[in-house]
Amino acid sequence: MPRRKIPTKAELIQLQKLYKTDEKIAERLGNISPQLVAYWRRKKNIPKHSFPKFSRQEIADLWERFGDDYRCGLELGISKAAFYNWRRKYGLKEKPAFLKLEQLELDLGGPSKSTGRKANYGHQTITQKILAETAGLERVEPGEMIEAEPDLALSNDNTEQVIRQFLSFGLSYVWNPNRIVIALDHNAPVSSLAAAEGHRAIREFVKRQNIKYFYDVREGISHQLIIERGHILPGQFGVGTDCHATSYGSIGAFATGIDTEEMAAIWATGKIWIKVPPTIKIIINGRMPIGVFAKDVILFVASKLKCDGAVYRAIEFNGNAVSQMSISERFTMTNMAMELNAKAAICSFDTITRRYLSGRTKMPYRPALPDKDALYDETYEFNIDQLVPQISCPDKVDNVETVADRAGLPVDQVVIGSCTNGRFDDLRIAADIIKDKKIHPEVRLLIFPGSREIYLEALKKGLIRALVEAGAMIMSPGCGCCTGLHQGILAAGERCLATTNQNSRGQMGSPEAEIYLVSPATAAASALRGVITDPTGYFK
Amino acid sequence: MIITGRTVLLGDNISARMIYPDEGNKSLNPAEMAALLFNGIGDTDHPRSNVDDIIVAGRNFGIGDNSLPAIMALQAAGIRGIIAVSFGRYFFRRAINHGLPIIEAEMPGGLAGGQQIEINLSGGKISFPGGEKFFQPYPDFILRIIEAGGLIPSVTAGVSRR
Repeated sequence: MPRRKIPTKAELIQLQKLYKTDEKIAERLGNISPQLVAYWRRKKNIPKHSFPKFSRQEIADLWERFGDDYRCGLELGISKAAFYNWRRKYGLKEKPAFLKLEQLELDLGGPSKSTGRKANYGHQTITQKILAETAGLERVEPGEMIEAEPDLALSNDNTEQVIRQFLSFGLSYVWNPNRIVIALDHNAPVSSLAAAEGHRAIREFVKRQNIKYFYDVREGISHQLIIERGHILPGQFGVGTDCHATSYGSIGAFATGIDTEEMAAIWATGKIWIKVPPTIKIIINGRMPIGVFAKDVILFVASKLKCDGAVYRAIEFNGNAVSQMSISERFTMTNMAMELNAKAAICSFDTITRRYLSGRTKMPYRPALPDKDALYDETYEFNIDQLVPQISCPDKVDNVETVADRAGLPVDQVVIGSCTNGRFDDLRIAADIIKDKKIHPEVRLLIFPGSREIYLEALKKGLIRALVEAGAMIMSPGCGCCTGLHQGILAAGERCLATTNQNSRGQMGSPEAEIYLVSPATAAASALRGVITDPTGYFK
Repeated sequence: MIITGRTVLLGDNISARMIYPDEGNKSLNPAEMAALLFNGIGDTDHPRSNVDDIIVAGRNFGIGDNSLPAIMALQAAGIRGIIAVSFGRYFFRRAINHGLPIIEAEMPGGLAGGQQIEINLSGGKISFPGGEKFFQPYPDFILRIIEAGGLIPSVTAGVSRR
């Protein structure tokens, strides 16, 4: 009898998604015991499928509030039949006695059963679909102003200002403590007394308000944490008091940066007004040549579209190059899209996104995909087959040249990290180049891992050791010198090569310092040579 | 909600720093801010605006950073509203969040400065001598913000009503 082929990890995950329990998977594969499936799972480190659990209190509250299986199911992200089963389990057979305000509103033209993405309205971009869904409308058009409830409200060190504004309203509790995420990353750990006082005020507020998702200075950069911990999901709408919130488009969410005053208003009312932006479609085709990375691609796009290329518009990244990119690479693209002044940037949801999110979230989600006949404001198409490493020169991000053009300029400081390029694969690229060599004695190489998770993984895989042996400094995960606050401020006349996202005058300290933006590979190669270096030669 | 005023004509690409150059003056005194309004345009005979004016401008009004002081200066000078073909991203949001009516519309070229015009925000209509121009009217939640004089006052009012 031939030996049964053991399914690969991906196959097993796929099976688990479809059939949930070990028994069902065994039944599907036929002729094997559930215990064998469980054994494979343990070998491949796949956790047991967990069904969502809802407490009686939760179910009873929702039932009391809406009195409708479909509406309650929507709130929990389950079907109406599933909700019906849950309430039968807890013995809630009768309709609630009183008609509640929400039900009245429901009848007065609120979200009705016909809304949702299943219906085919046509001509809609991802942005339109997500915003229509959050606003409870059938469809929205670019230029329309809508009022929406965000699925995520992120704030960082400037939470202190939000708190001050919020308290001035005279309210005692925030709108929804489970949708608020606070991560201290700009000043981590604090560098001044004023900032320390601010952090203390934030910690006290978080405790008082029962905000579950609070990440203290040890955890890392807010944007990285949001994606890593599954705080925003495909098809959702998020806002953050940091302009690089556009990064969440990497998993197919619409997210944008707002002011602290607006955040305070959200904490109070749960609502924000937003003008539906038109969408630009950017198609990127081709294969990334050796030594070229997502950062080079987006810098190239920036050089073509210029800094005002996407003002008040959303970007959709498309094309076969983007669909082959990892979430980390898409993160780099959507993060830098903010430098084109885009309101949001989105890569559409696909199997790569699904795989990334499995294990990071237990919540169900409904991704938004663009219609085939979606109407775009403008469409750009680029081919990256012949792309060479790019460098963004001072003082503007769109001032882009090829690295070869600027090669040979001496460098004082090299920074690898930030929300743009501080993930594990970025560190690995840098470590692969630097490993077993010594960096130039006149160069200071600063490494900022994006989060504690990335830091730990890099530590386990030996990247940190390789980097430190070569002469790099490992800083605590955070925004560090990218914000010009601390940890590597530049003096006048110094030249810095950074994998960060902004290079305006005085961004990292002295206005007379020069900041060049590059990919981690260019940064690492330049750190070795002490001058700006094209990294292509380091890849064999 | 209806606002009226006399027109002040401005061109394309008026950046926030042209509206209010704050290098010399960091004070938030309304009178001082109003005096510096449009000082960044550079022209010696740049428009001096008066109370109750409505600005009519071209493309990209208020682009660039520093939009908040520019809006505060415009309000300090008593500007009633702004009509432009397009606005800078931050300028647009912040103007509405500070209660400054701001309308995206292209006015006909024949419009002269100093003319009396009327903007009907809820109806989406601009009436000027010799014609009318329609724009997408403001939804209720935006009108509430503008009537209250900004996002923060409108939230405060909403909270105290609760």
